Amino acid sequence: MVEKTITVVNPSGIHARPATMLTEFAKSYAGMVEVIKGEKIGNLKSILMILTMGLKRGTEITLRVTGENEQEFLDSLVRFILDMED
Amino acid sequence: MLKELLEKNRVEFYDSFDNWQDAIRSCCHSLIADGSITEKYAEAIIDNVLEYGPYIVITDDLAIPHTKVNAQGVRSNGISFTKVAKPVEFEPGNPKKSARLIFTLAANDMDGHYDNMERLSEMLLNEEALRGLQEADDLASVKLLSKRLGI
Repeated sequence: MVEKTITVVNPSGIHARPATMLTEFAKSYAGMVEVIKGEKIGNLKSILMILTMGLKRGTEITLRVTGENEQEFLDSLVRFILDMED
Repeated sequence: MLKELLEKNRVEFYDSFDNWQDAIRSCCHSLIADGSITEKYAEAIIDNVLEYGPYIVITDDLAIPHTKVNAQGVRSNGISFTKVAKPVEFEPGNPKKSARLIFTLAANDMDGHYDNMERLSEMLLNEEALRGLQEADDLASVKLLSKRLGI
């Protein structure tokens, strides 16, 4: 299991369209992909779960990846989120 | 949330639509009726789908038409629910982009938009609620569901 904490930086945050893309990206990985905000932990492969978490701009989130080549996927996930546009 | 939508007359049923544009216009109907939005908002949603694709179908059988925060035609935050018996094809030929459950979201600020999405997705994560809405075919069945689940 590997983790990294980042801040959501795109101006509109992870609303429906970015969340759809993020879910698809997470589904491309066979292992477990989770997002943690405060005490709440969500499966990043579930768009409804992402949308319940209110990931606005400036929100600090921890990404947790468990599975094969987990560090490599975590790095690409971090890049994906930081590069996300509105 | 269902209770609130029922109290505000924001739950409607339709058999089918000729196309997704007509579906969006009708889904906006109850929000237009109570003054939350104007017809311009429906057209703004349609333009948004034409520009970005049918991403508003966020998962199987579920669409959340909306567009930018504070878009033209939005007067106040609001949600409506429309159930269509025949799935609306937001990308004709692609069943993954078809939906019978349609929640239209309107917001005049970012917090309002996130609040709408959080409340809606909380409700829909409840599998019993989601299944109940998929099976509902009239207002009475939605009222029963709302009462039974306390939602």
